[in-house]
Amino acid sequence: MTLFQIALHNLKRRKSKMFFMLLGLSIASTAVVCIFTIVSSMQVTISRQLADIGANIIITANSESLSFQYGGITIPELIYDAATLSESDLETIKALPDSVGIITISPKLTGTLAHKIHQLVITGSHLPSEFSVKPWLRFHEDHDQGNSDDEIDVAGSAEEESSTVSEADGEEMVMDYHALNLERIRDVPLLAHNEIVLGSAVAAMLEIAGGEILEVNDKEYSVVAVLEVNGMADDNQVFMNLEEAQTLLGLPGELTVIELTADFKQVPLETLIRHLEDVLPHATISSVSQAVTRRNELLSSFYRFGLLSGSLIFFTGLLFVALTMSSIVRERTREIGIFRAIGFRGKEVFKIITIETVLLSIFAGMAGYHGGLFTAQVIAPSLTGNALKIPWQLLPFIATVCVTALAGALAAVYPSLKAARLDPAEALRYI
Amino acid sequence: MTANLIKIEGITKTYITGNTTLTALKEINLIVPPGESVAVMGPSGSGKSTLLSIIGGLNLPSSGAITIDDINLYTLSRERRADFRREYLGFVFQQFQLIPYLTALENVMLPLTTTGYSSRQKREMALQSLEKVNLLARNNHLPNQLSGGEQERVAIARAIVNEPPLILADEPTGSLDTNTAVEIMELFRRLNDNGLTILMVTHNPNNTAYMKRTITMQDGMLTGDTHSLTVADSTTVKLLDKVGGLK
Repeated sequence: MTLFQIALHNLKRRKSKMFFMLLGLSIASTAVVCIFTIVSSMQVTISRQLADIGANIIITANSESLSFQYGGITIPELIYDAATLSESDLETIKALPDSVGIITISPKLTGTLAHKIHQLVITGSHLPSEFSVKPWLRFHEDHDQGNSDDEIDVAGSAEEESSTVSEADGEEMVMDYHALNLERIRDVPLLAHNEIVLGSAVAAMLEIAGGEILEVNDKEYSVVAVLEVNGMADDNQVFMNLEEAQTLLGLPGELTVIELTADFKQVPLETLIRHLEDVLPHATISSVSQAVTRRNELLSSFYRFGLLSGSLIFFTGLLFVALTMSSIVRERTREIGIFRAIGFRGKEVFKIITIETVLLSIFAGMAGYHGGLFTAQVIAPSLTGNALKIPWQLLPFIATVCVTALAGALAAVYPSLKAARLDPAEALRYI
Repeated sequence: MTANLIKIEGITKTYITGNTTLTALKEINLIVPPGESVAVMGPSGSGKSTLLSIIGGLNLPSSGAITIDDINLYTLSRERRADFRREYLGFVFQQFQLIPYLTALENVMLPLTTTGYSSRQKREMALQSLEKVNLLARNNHLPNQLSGGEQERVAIARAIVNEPPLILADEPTGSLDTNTAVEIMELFRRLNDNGLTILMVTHNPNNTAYMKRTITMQDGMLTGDTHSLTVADSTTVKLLDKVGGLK
């Protein structure tokens, strides 16, 4: 017979009370894990944006228009079918003294076309440049089956390198916090005039896979690939050759947006924006980093709020444990009196109560971690816009269990002290 | 072991509640040599249980001194008194006071929990103790699966498991039927025959027949101290019961 065995026996004996205490602590633990999981996943998204698209510059025509989701970031003043930039603007940009620092220029024309009962969003672009400015773009392996040569290889390597893996149903995105791979795909092919790449949502809507033919405006286009789902505007677009899109949309030489990536060590971001504003007075110059920074600030506020509310929930849980254990100690007054009368020291009684609480807290931590992951997975889509499949990870699991156990030990201090200080004569009043 | 296992000198115990002062014990003097068995008799409120709890180191006297085996109990700290109880005393409580979620064996092992014995040794000692009270076969039963007499025997086994020199028993037969009470008292007598000193609070005059000495209390004072007629065997007790006990 050991103190641990005594504690374990008592836990088994008071099943219903212990169950409710376990439930209370598990809920508190679940809430905290859920909040931190969601905030962490949002931070991953933001980090990705900051790291890889944060430095991009978006050039759009001046217009009162709808906002546009770009790379998960809201870019104002851009509207489909509102192309008022031209290819001559590209020459102006290239002529800038700062152009040595510009790495990629990706001109695009975006417009809508009716197709049967659907409206298609057509984006004419230079595909390698598009992949360069949007490092998250990946070809979907399943849709490359009918393609030949390089395209299949590209898709294959993309799949291997990708840390953002689509599920078979194309709905879920796995967030692996420690292995985000945003390495750009190299050797992205130029699209011929009769070739297109479909966003995942368009492909699903039209029920077209890679290698099949899509007919638009009486012209047949070969679908060379389908993109992986990424939860952004790309999912809804049909990518094609820029010139072909200009012809198809009846806007020869026109552009909707020009996106730049630059080496800002060579050219400071603010300087480049100022120079672009000088030479392109008819355009609006936006830095995605500004939008991302604003969103990051919002996330920081959300994180602080999460920290505060999580802590409050957790402390409420601990208070609940402390009160319940105190009431159990009151119920066990006579039993504790017996322990003391037959020679248990106060510290040994303290240990029994603490062991019981810590044991319970360990189970609550285990349940809370899994409950938190599950809850985060369920409610994340409404908060982040992305369905997340959050992987089970050993270290966070151990950390959750340890923190909950430590918190349980703290919550046990008062009831344990109360038990240890019980006067045995008082406890066994009838003696 | 010293000549006087228990030596009580001028013990007084008063309880103060608001403006009311209640004197539970008044100037008690008592000496109990090793190997003696003492029945403490008296009406309710006479101070028997208070005396027992003070001897057991559970309750602090207001004045006076008490030594057990020459150890002045109330010069010890609370924690050292707990150690003292574990090593020197075996308690048998009224209503048995077993831990309901532990088996008979586990209940008996309880006083050994914080000793340095190995698990195997603790188990062996507890089994031997249960054997002494003829309850080996029921060692895996929970208290609620045992009869009153069996629970009492488990309580006695628990009290003797660490082989203390002194057993303090409070109304050990109070909730038992006559036959079972006789069995339990015989058990106490056997333990006493084996050298254990026993101090027992009881209301039942029949129980005094199993004790070598009876002290009586009234209003917190010792009013009598006699050496009783001891009973040789249960047959005699049953005979006495039939003729109206030892009254």
